[in-house]
Amino acid sequence: MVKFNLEGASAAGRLGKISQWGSKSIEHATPSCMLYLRAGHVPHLTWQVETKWISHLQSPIYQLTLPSLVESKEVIAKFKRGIAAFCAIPNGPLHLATFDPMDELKTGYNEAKTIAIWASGGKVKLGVYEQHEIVKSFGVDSFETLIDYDVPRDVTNKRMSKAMDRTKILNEQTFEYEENLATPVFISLGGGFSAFQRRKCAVDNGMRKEDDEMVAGYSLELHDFWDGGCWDVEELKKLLSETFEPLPKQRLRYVCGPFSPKQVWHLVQLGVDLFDTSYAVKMAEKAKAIRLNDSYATNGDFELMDFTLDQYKDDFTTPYKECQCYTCKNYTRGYLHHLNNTKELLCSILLVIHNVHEYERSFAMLRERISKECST
Amino acid sequence: MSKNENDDESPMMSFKLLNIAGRARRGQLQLPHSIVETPVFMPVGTQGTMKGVLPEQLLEMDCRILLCNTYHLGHRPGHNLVKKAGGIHKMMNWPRSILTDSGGFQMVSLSKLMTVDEEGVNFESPHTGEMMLLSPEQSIHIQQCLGADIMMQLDHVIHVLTTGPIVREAMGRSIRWLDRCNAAHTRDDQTLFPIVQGGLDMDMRKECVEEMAKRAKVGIAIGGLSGGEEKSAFWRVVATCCEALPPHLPRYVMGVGHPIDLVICSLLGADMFDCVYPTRTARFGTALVRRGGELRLNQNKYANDFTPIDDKCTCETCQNYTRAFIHAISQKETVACHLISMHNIKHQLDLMRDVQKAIASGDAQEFLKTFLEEQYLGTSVPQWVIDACDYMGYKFSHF
Repeated sequence: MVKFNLEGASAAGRLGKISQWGSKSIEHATPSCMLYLRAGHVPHLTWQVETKWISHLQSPIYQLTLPSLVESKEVIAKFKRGIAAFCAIPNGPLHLATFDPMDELKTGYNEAKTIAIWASGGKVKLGVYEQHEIVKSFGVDSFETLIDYDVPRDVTNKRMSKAMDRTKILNEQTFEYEENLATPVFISLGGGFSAFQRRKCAVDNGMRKEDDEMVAGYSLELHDFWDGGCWDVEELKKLLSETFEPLPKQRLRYVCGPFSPKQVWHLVQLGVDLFDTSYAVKMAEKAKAIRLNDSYATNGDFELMDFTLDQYKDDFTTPYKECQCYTCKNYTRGYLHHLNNTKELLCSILLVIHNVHEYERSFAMLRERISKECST
Repeated sequence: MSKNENDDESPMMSFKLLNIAGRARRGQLQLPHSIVETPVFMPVGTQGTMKGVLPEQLLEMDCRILLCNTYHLGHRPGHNLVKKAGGIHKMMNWPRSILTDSGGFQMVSLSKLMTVDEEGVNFESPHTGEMMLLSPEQSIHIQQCLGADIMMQLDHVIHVLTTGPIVREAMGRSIRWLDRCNAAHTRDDQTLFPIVQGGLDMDMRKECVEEMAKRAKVGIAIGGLSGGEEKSAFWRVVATCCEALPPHLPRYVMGVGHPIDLVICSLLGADMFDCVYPTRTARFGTALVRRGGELRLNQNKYANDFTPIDDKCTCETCQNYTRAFIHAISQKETVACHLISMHNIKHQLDLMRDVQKAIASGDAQEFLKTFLEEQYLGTSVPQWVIDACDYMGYKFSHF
């Protein structure tokens, strides 16, 4: 089970606490984010670097992403000691995300009983049975029901209802298997850009009994809204309220994807509790550092420092003097510009360290604001 | 103090011999930023970073000195910017010693059009296409802006297989350029190493040693090797130079980094080495091991191998990761390269610490025997290694 206690809510968002995640006891306040992993690692960081040079504000919940691991499933099964030992992941709750939020999801590849994900060797078809085998041999603490995500804005009604039917069947099959499996599962909720289908998907799949310990919470499918995609707050507001309205309020709401701090700020207001750090990594890989404005909690404002710009070439000041991260305490803007300019690996390492730190801090600021609003 | 007041340069820099075993020496090189235990391998951080490794990780494996390349840093970010950043140590957050090369070698290897005259090296910048001149004075100026503990003189680099009068000419010019470098050298917190030239000609090497040793202050380099010469010639040049050099100068053999070369050269009396090999080979998925030399982790035979790279190794990688995991992510994730780089650098540092121990305890012969057995694992030891061992008086009946 995933034990989540909803402690309060205001116009700024919901405040909650996670105290149990599968077999692991934790103390983790929400809104928050899981730590995004690719190949079982925060991209560019060995675990020695991650544990020594990032100080997390809360003990992390790890978000494994399947595309970078699926090709190793036979090896991991043979290894027999689980994914955490295979990838040297420190102790903590492990969630297995079906998609990699750093990758694009292509359209036109889902089938009746399988959905498509993309690994380094190409497309992989994933059905409920394969997913359960992976969940068992990896030894993760939670995963997500499979979903037909392929419902773009211009989807036909016929394709949309087919997607809804498939998602419903995948959901039912998962819970049939789940009787023999003690791994909590997030119910994936989709419906694309249709408010009607969003609600239908929630009602079709999400109404399991409130005391069903197999349900970890809800996983909101929003890949068409990922950073770089479309972003219309009013539209999202409608879609999310149709999704959440019929569902029990006390379940944890998680969304996978790279969302900017401003987008997070909106989504938290719309009732989302848990995100992931993929945006921090995405920006680091573009040589950009994130900085939240002091007023972030009230207006969602932040800025990006782009080290591809020549204005930083001869600027040997710290990236952000108030920042407490390893990168800001030890390196300069000019050096980061140089590392990017020479395509050195250290550039991504240092910017991932900074961006993960800053991204996690955004949630602390949001929690503080909601907490204040709830107590007045 | 200026260098004229104290010709031995400042007491910040000195070399102390601790033990001698045969021709091999164990010593301590005091530099402004650290004490370097020799024989030492210096990892190469070409552009002001050890690829994919944090400085603190190098400190944890007790790395004392790095090499950075003048040519690369002179172009990007540019020596004036490094100076503005407070020097190379501060810019890259590395508190211990650094050695910079003269920049001449890369000019020869990276520039399409290159000519040398008495004034310096004329080369076409691969970045701007302009013709530029690197003179001895300019090389020292750039290296003083970078601020490494050890600077290298600009020398007239010729291909190691070149023969004829040009070898002598290049040698003579390198000596004259050393004098110009010395004259241009003004910072007293940096030392300057001369570079012994003379190709594969032993007499010319001895002659060059004599001239350069007179002008050397803290240490000296043996240059012009590792350029594709026969191994049999390579070790003989190292042996000849080490024999001819006075003992108080640490001897730096440039561009040497394969474990067998490190071991043989150390036993011949060389003290310092550098090479991109451990980090470059890591990027192609190859890990260094005592048993068998190299492990190409991309090969399918490691896909289900749940042992560490080297079960005796104490590096972070071997303590936490299997060959199978690294195989799975190799060429896909930068983490694979970081993990192998960490292991490979530690492998080189540990190897040199073992060489130091062997010299200290006087059992170089026993060390060499074990090292060769492990490195070649039943395959035959190359003839040049046998010859070098024979020359040094180490006898192995089973070769």
